[in-house]
Amino acid sequence: MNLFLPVPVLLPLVTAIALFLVRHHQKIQERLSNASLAVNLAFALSLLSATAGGNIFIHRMGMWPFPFGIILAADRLTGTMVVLAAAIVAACTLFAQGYLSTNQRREVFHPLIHFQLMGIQGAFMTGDLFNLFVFFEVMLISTYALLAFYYNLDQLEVALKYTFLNLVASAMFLVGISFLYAQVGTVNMADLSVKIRELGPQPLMVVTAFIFLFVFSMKAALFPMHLWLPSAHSISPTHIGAVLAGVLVKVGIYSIIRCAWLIFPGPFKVLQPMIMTIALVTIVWGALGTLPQRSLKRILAYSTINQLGYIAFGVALLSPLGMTAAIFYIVSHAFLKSSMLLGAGLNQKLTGTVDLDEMGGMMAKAPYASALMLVGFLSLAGIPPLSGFFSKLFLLQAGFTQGAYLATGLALLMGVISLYYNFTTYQRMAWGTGGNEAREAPATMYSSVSFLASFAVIFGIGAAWLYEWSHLVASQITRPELYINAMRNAL
Amino acid sequence: MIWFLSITIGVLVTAGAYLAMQRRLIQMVLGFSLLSHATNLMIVASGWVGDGFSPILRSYKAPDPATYVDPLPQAMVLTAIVISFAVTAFLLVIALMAYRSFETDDIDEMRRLKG
Amino acid sequence: MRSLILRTIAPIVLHLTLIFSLFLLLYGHNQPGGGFIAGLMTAVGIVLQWVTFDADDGWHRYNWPWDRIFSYGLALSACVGLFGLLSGYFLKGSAYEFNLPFIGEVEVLTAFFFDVGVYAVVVAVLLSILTTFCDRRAVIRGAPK
Repeated sequence: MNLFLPVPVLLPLVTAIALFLVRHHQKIQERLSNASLAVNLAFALSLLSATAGGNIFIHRMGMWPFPFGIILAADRLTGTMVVLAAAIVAACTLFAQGYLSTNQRREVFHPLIHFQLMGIQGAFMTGDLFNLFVFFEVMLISTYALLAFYYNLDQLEVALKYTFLNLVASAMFLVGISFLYAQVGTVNMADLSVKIRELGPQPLMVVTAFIFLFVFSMKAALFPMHLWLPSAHSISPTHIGAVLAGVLVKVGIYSIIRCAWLIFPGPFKVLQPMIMTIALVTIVWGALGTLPQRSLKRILAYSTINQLGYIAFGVALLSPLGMTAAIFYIVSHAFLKSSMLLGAGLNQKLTGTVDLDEMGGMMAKAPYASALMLVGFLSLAGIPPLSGFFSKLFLLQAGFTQGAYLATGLALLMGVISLYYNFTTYQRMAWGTGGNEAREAPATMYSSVSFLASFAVIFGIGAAWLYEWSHLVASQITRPELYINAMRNAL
Repeated sequence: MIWFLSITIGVLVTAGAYLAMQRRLIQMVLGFSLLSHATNLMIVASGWVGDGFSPILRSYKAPDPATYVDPLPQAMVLTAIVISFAVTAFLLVIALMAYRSFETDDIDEMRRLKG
Repeated sequence: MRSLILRTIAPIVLHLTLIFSLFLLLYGHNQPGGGFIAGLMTAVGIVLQWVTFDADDGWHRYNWPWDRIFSYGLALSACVGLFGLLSGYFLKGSAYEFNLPFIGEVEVLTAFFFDVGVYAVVVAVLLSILTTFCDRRAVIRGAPK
């Protein structure tokens, strides 16, 4: 497996180049893209099963010795996240083929989404902080271009907003790296971990950790940096919004987890009250933000902010139990939210609008599409047999076990609000009267939404299994010495 | 010399932040490219060794690493420059597209035209 | 630009920059230089031509299939990385020495082919940006009119 670790980075890269070269032949392009995504998913699954035993795989690029070169590493968390990315991007691409088939911009969509996939998977695989920056940028540049997909004014505005905010974040990322390098003289994550622990508690290191927290919260859309998310979700094309909600924000969360447990465990203990506050404010902001909205996609976007707050809450507990809950939440939310955004896109295709009042009466007009949305809304609201219930349950359990009563109580209260907005939204969408007539939608769109929505049921019924897996992941990442030793002893 | 570098970084950040807050797209793009130059200089400063040689081996004798400037930040800066170049190119294309569609690159004006 | 001096100097400078960039490309693996800098140097030479003569003229002259060139360059670099994977590590460089008749001993590094890929990417990206910017009639596909 060590030898094959570059595959999740290389395969999308090579595919993207090939797709760009054959961009004038639609059939070839689509088949090549689908084949590559299938191979990528198969590889991700085999990586997941290989990491399940607790092995940490290391690939030293260019055969450089331990702290110097760029290292690709895969532990259980990496395996999980790569599978998430591969599955969701594959589903979104399949969905996009449904309505891009006659569009001119189709020819650049496929290369861009593969570059984006390369950046995402690279960010999950890398064991080097500067290389993380590079993969972030690969991911972001293709995202900028995808957000401005049709070049109309709304999308240009969203793309500019996202670009400028992330440029500030990228600049801060580099500033953070230069702070770190000046203090400890390395950028390898394992080496950083050892050297920062040797350095002991230092105010400047806390400032550095704060810079990284700021940078990653921008990607993860936590409270003060969440402003780009609602418009990016609602105005950009559906398949791009779904990748954004399902995978891209999880890259930010993933990086925060790596910082909290591997790179800066000490400084993050100091910052813990602040992260907790940020998480709670994000939960409240997201929940209340849904209430005045009319557009289905904007409601889903604010709900994403709400849910990201919950995930950050699990991370902010800084305990193995909280980590287990957070990982459960990440996995279930990634599939759930991308299925719901694709479902919203499906409804948009059927009725030509995302406005809830114009949509009205979807239950009668398009029963299957609206049933898919029902599964999503029930799961988001936290109704028992579905995955959303268990993810909130484990999180609150972790919070109460640790004695964070006030914070957990607030999170529980906001759960009630999420129950309310999910039900009213579905009610307005499905049971209302009037609205536009339903049109046809291609079968690939239905199948990709069904594929993703089925995980809401699977992770609900198989919650014990997913919890067991999350526990395995958390038990590995909360012991950073495993990762450090694996990197040190790498061949 | 490190003072000179710090002052340069400060001036670049000031100018970049000022330009980034202007209304015209082209000024914003220039501002952000100045900001990225400032961060690049900062990485160079992080590997600073006073009076170090440039990290190029002149002969095959074993060198004394303490007398050379750390080459790793310079490699990182090169990468960062390439990335900021790509982003700037993208932003310029976006600004050009906006200009072609609306005959202006003033953000407020565009918003007014959009209505 | 209607400057006689520039018009006289520019073609000479183009040759000098091309030769110097080739030198940088070949020299790059152990000494200062390399694909990126060489690519920038080549592109700067061509940009100077563009500035000197008319924008339309420049567009007609350098409207090559840059998108293909940078795809092939990127593919070449990726292939060199894959070649290193054959010996166990992605991007691992290796050196081969040949004894050619008449020329003598030649050392070939895989890093050189990586540099050539980077060179192609840099030149092609810079010039495709320029062709996009300079041609006022070019409409980027999918854009609203």
